[in-house]
Amino acid sequence: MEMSQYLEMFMEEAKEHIQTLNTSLLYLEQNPHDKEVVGELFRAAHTLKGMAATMGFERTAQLTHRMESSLDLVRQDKLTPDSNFITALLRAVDVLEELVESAADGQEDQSLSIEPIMAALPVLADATQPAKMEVAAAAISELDEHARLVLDAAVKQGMRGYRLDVRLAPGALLKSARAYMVFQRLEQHGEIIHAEPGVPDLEEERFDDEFSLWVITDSSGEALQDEVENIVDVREVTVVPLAGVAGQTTLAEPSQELAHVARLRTGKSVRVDISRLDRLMNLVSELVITRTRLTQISRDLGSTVLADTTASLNRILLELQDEVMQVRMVAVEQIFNRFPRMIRDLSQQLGKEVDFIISGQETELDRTIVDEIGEPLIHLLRNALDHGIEAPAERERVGKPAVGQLRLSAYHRGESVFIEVQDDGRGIDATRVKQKAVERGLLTEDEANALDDEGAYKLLFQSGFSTAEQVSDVSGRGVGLDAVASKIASLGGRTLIHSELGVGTTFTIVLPLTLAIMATLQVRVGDERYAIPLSVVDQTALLKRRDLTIVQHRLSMSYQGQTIPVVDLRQALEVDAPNSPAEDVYIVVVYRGRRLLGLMVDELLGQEEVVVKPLGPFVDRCPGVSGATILGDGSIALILDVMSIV
Amino acid sequence: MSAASNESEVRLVVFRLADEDYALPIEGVHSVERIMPTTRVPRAPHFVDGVINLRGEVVPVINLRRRLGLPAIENNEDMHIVIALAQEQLVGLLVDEISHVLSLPKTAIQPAEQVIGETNRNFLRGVGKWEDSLVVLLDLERVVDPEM
Repeated sequence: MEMSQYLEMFMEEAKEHIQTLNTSLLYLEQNPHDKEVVGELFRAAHTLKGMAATMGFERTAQLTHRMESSLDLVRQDKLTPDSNFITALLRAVDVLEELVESAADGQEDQSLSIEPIMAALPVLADATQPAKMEVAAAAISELDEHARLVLDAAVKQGMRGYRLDVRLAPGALLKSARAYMVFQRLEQHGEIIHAEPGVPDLEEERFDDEFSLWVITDSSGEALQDEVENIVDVREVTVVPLAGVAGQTTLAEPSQELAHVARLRTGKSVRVDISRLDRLMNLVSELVITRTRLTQISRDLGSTVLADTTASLNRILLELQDEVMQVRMVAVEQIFNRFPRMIRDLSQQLGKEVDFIISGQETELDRTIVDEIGEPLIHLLRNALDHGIEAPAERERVGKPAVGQLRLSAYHRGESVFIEVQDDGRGIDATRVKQKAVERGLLTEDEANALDDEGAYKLLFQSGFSTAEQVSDVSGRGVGLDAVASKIASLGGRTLIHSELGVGTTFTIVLPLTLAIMATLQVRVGDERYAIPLSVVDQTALLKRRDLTIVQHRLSMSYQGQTIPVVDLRQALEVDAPNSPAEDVYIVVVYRGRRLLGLMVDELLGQEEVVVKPLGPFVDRCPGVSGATILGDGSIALILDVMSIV
Repeated sequence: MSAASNESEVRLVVFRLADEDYALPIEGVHSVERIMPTTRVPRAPHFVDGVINLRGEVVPVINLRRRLGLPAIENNEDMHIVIALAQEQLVGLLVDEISHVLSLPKTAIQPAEQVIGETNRNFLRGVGKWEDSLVVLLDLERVVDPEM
C-alpha cells in the first residue's frame, strides 16, 4: 500500500490505455462512423484522465481532458473524424506516451510542451477552459466508474462483488495496521477495487472506526466474513453482495478489452522482475546439467533403484522446465502492437496506400527473443513498404488494386516460431540483384550467371547491399538486410526470402522457442563430440562412401530427388584424425537457410537437451561454432553453427 | 603475513614460463587451477588451446607461451591454469608452473624497455626486482584483449 506500487500500476495501465488509443484511432480512421470505437476512445481518455489526476500528474490529466473533449464532438456528431483530426489525436497520444514514460520516477516531465498539441485538437468554444478544477473533481467519480466497469466485467465472468463494512473496536490502537491486515486477508481472495475512505486516509489513520471495501472474488461472502472477522480489534463485519449494483451500471456492454483488464486484475497474478525469471531459468539449467550427470552415474553403476529415482527426477524436472519456460513466454503481440501506427505514418510519408493485416499475434516466444525481434521486424516492414509495395499509380498501371497488402503473421510449427512479412509488391528482380553484385565486385560475371534466383536473393543479406534506386529516409542508410539476418542468426534463428517478380515478396523468420535450452543431435567427428541444433536437422542417413559423388569439385549426395552438397566435418572443423577407412558414413541433413546441406560425421550419438553456454572471449567468433554445452560427465561439446560452417 | 595491503606495494602472483618468472597483479587473478582436459575450438586463434569446464562455466584457455611468443612445450603435470578476470570475463592462462605470491614495493618495478629476451613486448607492463632475481610483470588487459 505505498505510492510506488500505485505508480507501477499506473504506468502499466496507462500504457494499456495508450495502446487502446492508438489502435482505436487507426480503426476509427478506417471506420469514421463507428460510434462504438468513439466510445471506446472516449473511455480510454477519460479513464486515463482520472488515473492521472489521482496520481497528481496534471499535464497528463490536462491533455487527456482535451482529447476527451475533442472526442466528445465526434460522439455528438458535431464533427466527422477526418485524417487531419486523427493525425492531431495521434500526435497527442505520442506526447501522452512521453508524459507517461517521464512519470516513471513519480514526476512528470514539466519541460514537455503540451500546449501546441492541445491547440491542434478541436473543441467547442466553451470547453476550452483549463481543466484543472474539473479534473480534481472528476478524480473521485472517475475511479468509481472504473471500479464499476471492472466489477461489471468481473460479474460477467461469473465472479462476485461484495462490499465489506468493517467496524473496529472503539479506541483500537494501530487502526491503520488493522486495515492493512484486512486488505491482506482479502487480497488472498480477490481484488479490492475501491476503499472508502481512500487508501491514503486508511494509511494515515484518518478514519473513525469504520471503513468499507469493495471486493471482487471467486469466494463466497461467508468466506470473506470468516477471513476478516477473526482479525484482532475487528468488532463487526457486514458483507453486502454487489450483484444488484453491477446490474444498475448505465454503461454499455463492457468491451472485450475491459473484460480483459478485469481478468488480469482478478487472476491473482503477480508481476515479477525479469531478472528473477532469468535467475530461475539459470537454476533450472544447472539442474538439467546435474540431472544429466546423475543419469550417467546411474547408468555406470547399473543400480535399478537409482535408475528409478533418476527417472522420476527426470519427469519432475521436465515439468519444472516446462513451467519455467511457460512463465517466460510472452505473446508477440506486444511487439506487433506498435506496427500499425508505424505503417500508417510511413505509408503517408511515402505516398503509398496499404492494408496492413496482422495475424497470430497471440503466438508466444521466450521473453528474451521477443525483446530482440522488434528491430529486425521494423526493418523488414519498412523495407516492404519502401521497396516492395509500389505507388498507387504504378500499381494501377500493372493492373493491381491501388491499395497494397502487407501481412505480418506469426505461427508455431514444431519447436520453432515462424514470423512472416509478406507484401504484394513488385518482388525482387533477381537479374538486377546479380547485376548490382557484379557492379560492386561481389561476383564475377560468370558466377552471377551460374547463380539461380534463390542464390541471388541471398546476396541481399550481404553487407551494404541495397537495391533501392535512391537512398530514402525510410530504409535508412548502411543498415541493410544483412543486419536483419545476423540479428536473427544471433538468436539461433534463420531468415528466408521468397519472391516472385511482380507478385510480391515474403520474408520468413524462423526462431527457436527459447534460447537457454536447446534440443540437439550429438555427433562424433574424429575423437570430438559436437551438438547440432535439432531445429536445423531435416534427417539423418547412413550411406556407403560410394554413394557420394563429386559434382563441380564438391562432394555431393542425392537426397529426395535432388543433389545436395556434403561437408566433411573432419575437414571443415580441422579435426586431427586419420582418414576414416570405414565404408559406412553417417550424414546429417540440415537446413542452411532454405537450402539443404549434408554433414558427414563418424557416428550419431543420440539426441540430448542441452544448456547453451557462451564460449567466452577469443573463441566466441570462431566460424562454425556458436556456443558450448557441458555434458553429464563434465566434458564440453561445442554447438555447431550450420550457417557459418563452410 | 599481513593481509593489509600497503598503498606503496603491489601483490603479485608469480609463475614460471620458459625458466623465467612472470607475474600478474593479484587483483586480476580469479583462481589458480590444476591443468585439466581442454576442448579444442576449431579455427580459434593459434594461442588458444580451447575451452575448459570451470565449475559449470565455459572458459577459454590461452597458451601463455604461445601468446608471448615463447617456444611451446608438451603439456605436463606441473602446469597450471591461472584464471584471470578481465572486463568481467574469465580467461584461463596456461603456465609452466605456479610459484608464489609476492609483495613488491612499487619502486622496485621498472619500465619494460630493459627486458631482454624474446618475449612479445606488447604484453609487458614492467620488470620487478626481487632479491637477486627478476620478475616480468604482464599487462593483463592486453594479454586477454582479443584485438591485440
